[in-house]
Amino acid sequence: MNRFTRIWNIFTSLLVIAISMIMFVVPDLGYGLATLILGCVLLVSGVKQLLYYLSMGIHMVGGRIILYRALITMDIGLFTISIHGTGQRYIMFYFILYYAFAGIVSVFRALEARRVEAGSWKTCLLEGIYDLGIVLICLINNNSASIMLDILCLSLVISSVTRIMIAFRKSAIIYIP
Amino acid sequence: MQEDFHYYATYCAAYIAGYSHEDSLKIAYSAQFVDCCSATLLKKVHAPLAAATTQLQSELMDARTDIIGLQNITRIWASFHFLPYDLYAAVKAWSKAYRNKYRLICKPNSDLIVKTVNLAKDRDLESVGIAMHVMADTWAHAYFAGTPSQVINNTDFEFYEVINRGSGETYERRIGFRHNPAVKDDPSRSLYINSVNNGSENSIMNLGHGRAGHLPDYSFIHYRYLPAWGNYDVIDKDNPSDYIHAFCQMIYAMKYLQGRIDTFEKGKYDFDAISEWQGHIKEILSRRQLDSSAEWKAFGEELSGQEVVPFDIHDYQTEYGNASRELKDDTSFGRFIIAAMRQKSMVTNAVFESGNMLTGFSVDYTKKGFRGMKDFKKLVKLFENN
Repeated sequence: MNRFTRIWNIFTSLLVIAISMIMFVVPDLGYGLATLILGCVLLVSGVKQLLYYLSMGIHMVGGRIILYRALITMDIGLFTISIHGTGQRYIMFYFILYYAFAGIVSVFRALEARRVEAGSWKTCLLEGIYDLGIVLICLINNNSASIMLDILCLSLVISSVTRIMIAFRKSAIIYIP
Repeated sequence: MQEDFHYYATYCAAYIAGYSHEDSLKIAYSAQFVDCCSATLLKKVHAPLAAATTQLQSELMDARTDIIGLQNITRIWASFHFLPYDLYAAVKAWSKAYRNKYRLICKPNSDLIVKTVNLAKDRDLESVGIAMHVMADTWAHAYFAGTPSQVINNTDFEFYEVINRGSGETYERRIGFRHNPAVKDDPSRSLYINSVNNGSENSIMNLGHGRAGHLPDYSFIHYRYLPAWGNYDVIDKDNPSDYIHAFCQMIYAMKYLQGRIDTFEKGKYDFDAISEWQGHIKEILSRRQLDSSAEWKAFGEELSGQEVVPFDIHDYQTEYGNASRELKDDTSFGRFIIAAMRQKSMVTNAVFESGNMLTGFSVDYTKKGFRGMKDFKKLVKLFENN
């Protein structure tokens, strides 16, 4: 990782932590902000896919599918921005799917690690339990905007802290001729 | 390739090349261990994680696909399983990102395979085993890249198996792909498992030959398909032919490593060494079955007259675990770790020198000193001792 990427990762992570705090402290503002962010993320993702098609996908056999996907994603992004403030169920649904998948993967990792007698299986299992616990909280509080917001804030803070930690990690390989 | 070729066939090649039974077993063990040495296993024995030569499915499922994660994945898969063919290949594409991925496509007889073999010259048997794994995989994994990439590794649904009727006459049968890992491949109906189509460029579903399932790993199969990178040109992959070339190239390379040949050159195969058994080897390679370990084992035992003990992942781990810190590097497991880091370092440096950042930064110790992962201090220590 070069110096610019490191600094950029730290800067964006600190920014995300700050936004999470604002969302947590001012929930009324937070929910509208959350849907707006989701819409913007989808829009940016669509634009990125379009650039991906123009730079790489255009050379791929059957690459035109990437172009269609980019246009659809941009369209959904614009739609989400236009309805922001009314689609909290969709965000909750997204959380449930994301954490359920992450939880199942962590449990499988724990089982595989235990099979080869590696000590890391306990950490993996804890991660799995944590993820599945969030799924359970989402399911119990199916329509609660405040719970959804708390989970969103927590996830953003955790992923930002992880990104900062990774930015400080040494990653160069040593070569001896 | 699988255990049948990486372990049993490598044993046979080593024995034919002139190694003793015991040395051939060590080389074969090291060659097969490349497919087992994951970060999870290294954590278990408290060994440096930078020596990982493979990733478990669960590790991959959980792997981050940010820049650091991708570089780690690419270092492992490009160094040991998908050795790049031409890091300076001419590509008609304006995007550097595309050119960098294209240049990691694996094929046999690259400059890097010569470097890989030379890296094992005058070194331990573990280094020889690793080099043989890398060499064998350049044949099996040809036309795929050891980095997650949809635009390179994806495959079209136009996938046909070329089946021999027995009298030399062939016919084509469409291959069906399933994504359920709980079921087995079924060659009798040309039904195989592959990874799920994922539209994300850097998804691990698009790593290596995942989209073509285990087809590249089966010695018997002959198939035709459209690779994502190939501009609609059909690839004809004749595994029985490729595998016998791999076998004869390994014999040639191991004769060089023993000092029985002065130079190692690309595109040379020691077919003379197997003339006595060529029919039998071809018969093993062409048999329509998912695992040919029993046949290769029997052939190995016929060659040496001694038992070829089955591969056991736990061998050598206790010896490494019980050794004192100073003596760990002198154990078989310790030597494997150093050889693996040496190979990874060499490939990473070659990719980095070509201006391609997909395997990350490489720091030349002799010019800039130690500025990198602390795991690589092992190599520095050896360098300074020598």
